[in-house]
Amino acid sequence: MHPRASYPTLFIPGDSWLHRIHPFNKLCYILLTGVSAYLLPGEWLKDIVLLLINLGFLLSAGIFKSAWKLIWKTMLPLVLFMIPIHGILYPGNHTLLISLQWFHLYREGLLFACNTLLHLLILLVASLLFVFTTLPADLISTISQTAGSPVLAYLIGSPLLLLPAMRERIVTIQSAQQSRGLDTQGNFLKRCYGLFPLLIPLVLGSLIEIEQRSVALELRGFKSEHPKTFVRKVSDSRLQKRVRQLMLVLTICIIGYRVVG
Amino acid sequence: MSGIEIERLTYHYPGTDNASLKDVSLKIPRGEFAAIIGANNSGKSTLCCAISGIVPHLYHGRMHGIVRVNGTDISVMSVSEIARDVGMVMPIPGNQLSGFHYTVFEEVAFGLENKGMQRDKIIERVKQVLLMTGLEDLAERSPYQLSGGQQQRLVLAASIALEPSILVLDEPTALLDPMGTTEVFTLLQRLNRQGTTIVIAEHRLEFIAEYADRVIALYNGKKVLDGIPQDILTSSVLKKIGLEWTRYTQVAVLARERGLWAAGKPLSTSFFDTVNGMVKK
Amino acid sequence: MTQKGFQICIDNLTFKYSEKIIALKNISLNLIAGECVALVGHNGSGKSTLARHFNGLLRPFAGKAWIQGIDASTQSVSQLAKRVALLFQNPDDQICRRTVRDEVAFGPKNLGYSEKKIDQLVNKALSSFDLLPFQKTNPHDLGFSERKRTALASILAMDTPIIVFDEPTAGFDSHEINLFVTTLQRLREEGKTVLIITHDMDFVAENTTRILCLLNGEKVFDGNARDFFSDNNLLSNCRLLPPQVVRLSTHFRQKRLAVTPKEFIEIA
Repeated sequence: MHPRASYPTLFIPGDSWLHRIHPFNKLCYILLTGVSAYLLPGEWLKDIVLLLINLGFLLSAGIFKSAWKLIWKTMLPLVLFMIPIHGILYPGNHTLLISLQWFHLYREGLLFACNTLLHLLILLVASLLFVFTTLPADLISTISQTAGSPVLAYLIGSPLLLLPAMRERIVTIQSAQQSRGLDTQGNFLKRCYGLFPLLIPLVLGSLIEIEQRSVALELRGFKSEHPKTFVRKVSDSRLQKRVRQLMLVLTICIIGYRVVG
Repeated sequence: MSGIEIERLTYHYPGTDNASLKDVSLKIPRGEFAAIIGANNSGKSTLCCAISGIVPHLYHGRMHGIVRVNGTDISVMSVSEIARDVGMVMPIPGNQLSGFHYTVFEEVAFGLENKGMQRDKIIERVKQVLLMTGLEDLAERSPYQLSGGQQQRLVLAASIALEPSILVLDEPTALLDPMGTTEVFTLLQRLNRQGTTIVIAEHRLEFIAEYADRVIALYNGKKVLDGIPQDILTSSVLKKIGLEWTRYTQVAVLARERGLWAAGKPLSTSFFDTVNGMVKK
Repeated sequence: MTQKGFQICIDNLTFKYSEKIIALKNISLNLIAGECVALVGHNGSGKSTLARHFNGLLRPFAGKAWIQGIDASTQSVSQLAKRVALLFQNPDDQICRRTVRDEVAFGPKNLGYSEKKIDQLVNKALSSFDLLPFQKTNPHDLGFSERKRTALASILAMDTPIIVFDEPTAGFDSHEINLFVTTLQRLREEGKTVLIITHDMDFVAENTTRILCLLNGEKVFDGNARDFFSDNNLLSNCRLLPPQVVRLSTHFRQKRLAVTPKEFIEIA
């Protein structure tokens, strides 16, 4: 029996202050950081301060090491791609920095690339603060508790959870058809021909599954209008609520400032 | 009356001319362990669905006749209202998971949350049910990480957590190894002794002989036999409706032909009755 | 060990899903032509994983699989499909054609047989599983057990010398099981090598000539039904139960363990 994969998650078990923060606070924080990076005035200094704050959070939550691995793996290809592209082709280029035969690197493009990369880096770090310290189960449960109905939680929660099961099914279907002599290697035409025997069982199987699942959900009172209770407790406090509201207000102010100013 | 009452039930799935159930009437009183047997397409699953209201509420189609659960006509109830009395377990476990709960514990708690049960009570109840179904060590796993057999037990756990007075199961053990099947039947027996009415569609007659106290046989959508396992499972009609005696009964029949069966003893359906029925030469 | 003369020869095969999860440990076995072998074990013992090595769907981590004397590692799955057909548990994982007939013809067509041969094989497979009346029907309009029979017929129609069935009778009623038993007898007469993964011990006792048993990825038994079913410890370790007739025969301490009702009475 193939060991079944759990849902894909980057969550790192732990008990730091960040782990204990309400998921919505962390989501609000990502929003505020993004808006600040892109809309607040103050160019470089502000961006560097934002980055330092976020890196500080990573350190204090004890997830710097894991984050670092993911950060350079994500950022390195972007750096290698964006610096030459903008350095050479940015429309505002006119101050030549390096010139080697056909290779001309300009200052404006280089600065633009660095600035864009810095913004992306800030957003990435802020997002990692969230995904590394939030249990998907907590997020989904919070959503269904807040929304008052589990429908939204279902829409957000099920793809992540069903993905590994779906992948497993695709492998099984492919195996079953290959066992009946279906050649999935070879030229383009052959591969296209080989696609239908994989797609049809997958689609029809999913339809059966959806139908049966809706019956099962109905039987367990999914749509019941009775007031619900929740087993999973996500720690929240008046302070956290205030901070959440404050972050939202700040975000709106920054957007307003940019629209009006 | 508490329990299940079915009066002259005829049902057509949407777009079919041939009825899946034809004029079926039966009463299953509270606390009975009833088995539904029959060849494939004889209407076993449809009958299970009719008791839980899936037919006709969710699958639609044409229905005549009355199904009453604990005295109430279920045609006037919604499926989730019926579900308070009737728990249902279907053959493919993966498709019955809610699909958005990340742990086994929460999957079982889901139905109780929807009922609005107090949090402490839910936790207590879920723990109890996980213990009963042997899933206590898997409480924090993802439901989709479990094997088919474990998922089947999870679906059963989620259903019995709601403490239905009637539990309907449609071939719940098709995926299980022999010991797993025995475990499920033992659990059902335990629930039955605590007062739950059990209705199970099952192919393996040796299990029915051991656990059920009532057998209903369907053929082509009609009820053809109804009685205690001893009578139904040794009936000569079984062969005509596409079923076969258990090996125990086959042995007893052969033994009787050879004069090796105790005079006056009825044909057996179980190990012990067969042992007791054989005459030493 | 020589791999010649064997239909399937597995030599010291080990398979790991990861460093920690070892699915199969040092498995060796040989199957000859005309054998009908049961592969049994608890849920998760590695039965399906082992079966997937016979046609190259999985490749051993260590050890070798030889199919009709050919090293399986040198062949693609679709090449091996000419020698080994494998039935999967769930028919809905394979049904992809609009009629039962086309579905059954899917395998033989992939194997490149002539039109005439395909017609013959498909007719024979359809009639083996009582599917001729449904041959123009869309398989998805049929019930589960009919879809399962369609899947079985589609494997049979490939006419391979080796056939592996994973839970062929789960969900079948006794008439359908009998259809399968009759088909097995025919396959044996034709000299095919058949391996059946199943939980139905009564079926195993009555219809197979040899039993292989896995326990947590290791082969713990390879021999005949009588020896297997008389080892109660082994059975309970493997979460299996003795067949009905064997229980009776053991109880009466019969001089030879009976596996069918007829045998039981004859020995009695």
